[in-house]
Amino acid sequence: MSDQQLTCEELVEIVTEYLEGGLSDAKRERFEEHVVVCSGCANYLDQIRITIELAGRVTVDDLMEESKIELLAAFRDWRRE
Amino acid sequence: MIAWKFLAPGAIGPFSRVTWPTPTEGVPGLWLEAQVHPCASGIHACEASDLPFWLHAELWEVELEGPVVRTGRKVVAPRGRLIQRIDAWDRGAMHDFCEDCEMRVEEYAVQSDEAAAYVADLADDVEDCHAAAAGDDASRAAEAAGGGVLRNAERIAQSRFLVARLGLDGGD
Amino acid sequence: MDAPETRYAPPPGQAAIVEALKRGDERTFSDLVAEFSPSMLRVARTYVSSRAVAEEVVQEAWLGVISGIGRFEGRSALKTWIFRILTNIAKTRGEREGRSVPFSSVGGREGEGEAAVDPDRFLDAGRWAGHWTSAPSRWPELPEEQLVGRETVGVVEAAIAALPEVQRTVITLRDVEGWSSEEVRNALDLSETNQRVLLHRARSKVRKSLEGYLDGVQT
Repeated sequence: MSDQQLTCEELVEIVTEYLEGGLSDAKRERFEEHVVVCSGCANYLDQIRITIELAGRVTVDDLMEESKIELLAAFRDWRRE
Repeated sequence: MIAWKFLAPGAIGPFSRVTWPTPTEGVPGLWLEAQVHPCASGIHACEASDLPFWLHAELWEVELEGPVVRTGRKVVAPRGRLIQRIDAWDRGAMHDFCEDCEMRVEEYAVQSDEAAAYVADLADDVEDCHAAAAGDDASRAAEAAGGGVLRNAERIAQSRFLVARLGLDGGD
Repeated sequence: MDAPETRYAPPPGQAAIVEALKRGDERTFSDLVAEFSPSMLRVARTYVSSRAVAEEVVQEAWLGVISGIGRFEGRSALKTWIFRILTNIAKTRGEREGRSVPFSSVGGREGEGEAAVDPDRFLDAGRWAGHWTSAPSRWPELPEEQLVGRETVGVVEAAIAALPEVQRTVITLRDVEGWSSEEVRNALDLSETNQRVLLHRARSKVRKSLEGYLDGVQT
């Protein structure tokens, strides 16, 4: 069997590396060639992209207002010194 | 340098997801510089022998500028622009490509039981009109029947089919 | 003469921000607190036992920033400097609570050998060994309503909240907050490999949760 070709199981393990630009040129090419051929993996890659995009819409916990007010007071005190 | 590029529907890069500026009224699309996205190292394009590996929904003629480097199964350049869509690459051509692969796989199947296993896969590919899969399955069948040499020959046959069928005149 | 690559160049705009802080500009300080506190909370939470303690740590860190800003020389990014202050305080606090340093064993115990996708999803044997048994389906393209609806984002949020602490921190900083890989590595003192492994595991789990939800919804 052609040892160059990626399996789907191998591909899902290197998806993050691919998106980070961490794959060698040769490996990236194998990755992309596989995605072109395999609709399952094409869908998987899209799913990861969608996951990342949705994560970007999550709102995060923030400090409470009182805490922020306290900090601003401390900052003013420091400035006065 | 003139080369070719496969794109997703809407002239979208299949990996970068960048929308390519398309030509209007005979004027080439705007130049695209090498993308900032980390998984692209520049503008990627195909010469004739590369075509079977990258089959996708749309085929475009692309002009590349700057030092063009061949690396693996593609050429890479710092910038490129779309010249014209190769309309001949339509669903009919995809279907014909699949059937062409199927025909050769049937011959490989005669020589090798391992290759014969791919006949059913090719039948599915023809029905789905999935050209990229057909090309890949046919190359695996060729390899099963005759090793790397036959696999390479299969890919050359695929490339020749595309060039002839789409009128690409052997490219650059 | 310094080669350009070896001299640190601060992010554009940083010099102005630092100068404003040193002058005591309250607006700049408030903006900074607003911008960084959520991430600081997330990072602190990795080190300590509770949300309440994490908040205390963040408060302390900001006080440290106030007292130290006069001496800040801009030899590193402001963000990196602030997060170093934070992680030092968080580590100390965590140790006092008897917790072990969370990033010290990143490559080891945590999630050792876990696969991005259940091995059941791939064929074991035959010529298609390693290929999908049941291939992932095509999700609706964003921004269709179903996909960006609050419920779907909620599923992602819950999945992130359920992650092991360190994976949660990395995916929050990278994908929720939009930090670069380099910023995360600097702030958490992680190698490229470690950061990537954590991010990979986190994203894989979140995708899986999303898949479960969407497959159920798409009847």
